[in-house]
Amino acid sequence: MQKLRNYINGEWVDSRSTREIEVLNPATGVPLAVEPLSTPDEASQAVEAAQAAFAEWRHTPPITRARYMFRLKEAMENSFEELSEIVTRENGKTLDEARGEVRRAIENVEVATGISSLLMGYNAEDVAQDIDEETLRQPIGVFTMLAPFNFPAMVPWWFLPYAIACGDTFVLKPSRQTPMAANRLYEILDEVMLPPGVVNLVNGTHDVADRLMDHPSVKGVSFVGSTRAARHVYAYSAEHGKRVQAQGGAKNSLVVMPDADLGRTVQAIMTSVCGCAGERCLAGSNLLCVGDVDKGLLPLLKSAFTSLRVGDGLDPSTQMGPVISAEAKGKIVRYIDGAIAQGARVLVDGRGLVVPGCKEGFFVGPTLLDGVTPGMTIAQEEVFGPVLSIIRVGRLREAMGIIAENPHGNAASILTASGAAAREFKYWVACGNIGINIGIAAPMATFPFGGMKDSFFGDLHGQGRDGIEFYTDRKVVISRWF
Amino acid sequence: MVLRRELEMELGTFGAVLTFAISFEQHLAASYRQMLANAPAALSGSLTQAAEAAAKRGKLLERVRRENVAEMILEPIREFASEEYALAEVPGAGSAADDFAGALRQAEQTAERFYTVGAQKLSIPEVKRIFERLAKEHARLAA
Repeated sequence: MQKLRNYINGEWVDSRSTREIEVLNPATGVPLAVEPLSTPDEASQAVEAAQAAFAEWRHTPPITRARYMFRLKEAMENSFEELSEIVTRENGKTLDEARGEVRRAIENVEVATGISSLLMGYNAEDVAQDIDEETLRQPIGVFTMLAPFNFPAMVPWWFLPYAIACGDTFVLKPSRQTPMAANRLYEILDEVMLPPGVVNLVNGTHDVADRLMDHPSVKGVSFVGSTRAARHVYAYSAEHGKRVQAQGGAKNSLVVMPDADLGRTVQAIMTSVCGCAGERCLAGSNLLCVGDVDKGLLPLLKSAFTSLRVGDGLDPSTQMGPVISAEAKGKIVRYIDGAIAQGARVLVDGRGLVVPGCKEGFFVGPTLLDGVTPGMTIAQEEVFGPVLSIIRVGRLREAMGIIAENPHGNAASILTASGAAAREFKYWVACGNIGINIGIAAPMATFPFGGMKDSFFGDLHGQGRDGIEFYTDRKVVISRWF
Repeated sequence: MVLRRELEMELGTFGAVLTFAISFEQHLAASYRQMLANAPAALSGSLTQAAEAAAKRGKLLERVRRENVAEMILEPIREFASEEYALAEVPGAGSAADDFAGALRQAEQTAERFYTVGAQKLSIPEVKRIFERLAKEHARLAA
């Protein structure tokens, strides 16, 4: 079985830690790799290597750094299928979903290839008599990223390409549940032959994360995960003087208006709720049916939920894979049980699903709950599984009120044929990502990705221009020549 | 030419269709190379050309699969099964020139049929366009 190693200062090194865990294939429960839970000292070594590499790297012309990005893209394209399979094996999502994830990762590299232009500052002549003023954009130092399990290839790449293209250096701590894709991506980075120390990887858990957040040489921290953890990361990192972008959990609503195209709406809902087995921060979770739209919509939805093919993501005919772990499965089932106890009715029940040939897998089938009210726990909290709660409302304003009252603000979508309704929705709803006739409102790499309210702590989001802002500081030079 | 058993699959997802198409072209290329060993010299040019074209299409389809999955597709594809696109056996040594030419034509006609139906089943415009183009290319080779 593969034993994972850390990547520090351009070398693969065995962890000295005696603690290790197994990485499981969620579809089969079979161990795939052994992951060391590195020590905080090893995290410090990675930071120190990154700090040592910074001076030379930040002095490297941006066009040269861009060429590394072109090589990285090429290397990732060459390993595309292999990376996708690794993601499917360790995370469980379908191969198509894994391919989509790797594609998104590459798109961030593609955006970062434009760093020569993206780093440009601005200037003005004669701001006062004979005085000119200019703004320079400069890299800052060592940045770190603490990655979640649900997009093991994509999420680290919301950050790493921008950081190193900007001239910063980087330390990644992959998810302890899905570290294999990141480890393979670092092998690809090794092929690209960046200067030693520019990129580093430390496998581990909370104590490694804490060291990365409180190490004096680290200038900034990026995080994606639960709201509880994001809140801690934000507070702890800020306490130690870092700039922080911490993306938290979500409770995303899909609002369906009476004039919606029902066929397309059902497709959008299915993608939103069941894509990646509901384990994404943009997954639809509450279905707010406005007026009488439920009468036509629910039979179609029930049929679609029932006919979805659940199985091992490596099987090309599979449409939805397992959830990440037995613990995750247990938690999702408890949410469903709790909803029923609070008065919800089950239209489609995914509990107890057994997939032939995958008896040890962590599967929960698509689950459709009717009669949910906004006050129920299932309507309030993030389930992170393929569960959809149907809530009936009379008017759009009522639906928007339910969204407003939820503490999360990651994403919300409206499905409608009315431009007026769509505009009202996008104008008023306080979520970072708004979908109009889109089930998954996922920003492309050139746009910022992040939520509002309890779904995000910080100010600059990931990806695109926000990424450039996060990884650089502005210096103003005012000059007069005699 | 009979597609291997592991290539028999329900083409119910975007990935399954593209994976089958890639395997189909790879199999075509291999089959044409196999026929080259036994076919009359007069056919070697067209078989070589057909094998190279199939290999090139396989690479094109790999790129298409890599680059067109940004939208997560759960929309099921219905009534599209690989069994309908099985290929006949490769003519053996000693077969007549007409047998080889016929096998080539039949394979290309099957491919044309696959891409024509596939283009109708797929909703991504870029992929639909490529499938339509490949259908035309196979039709030309079959003519």
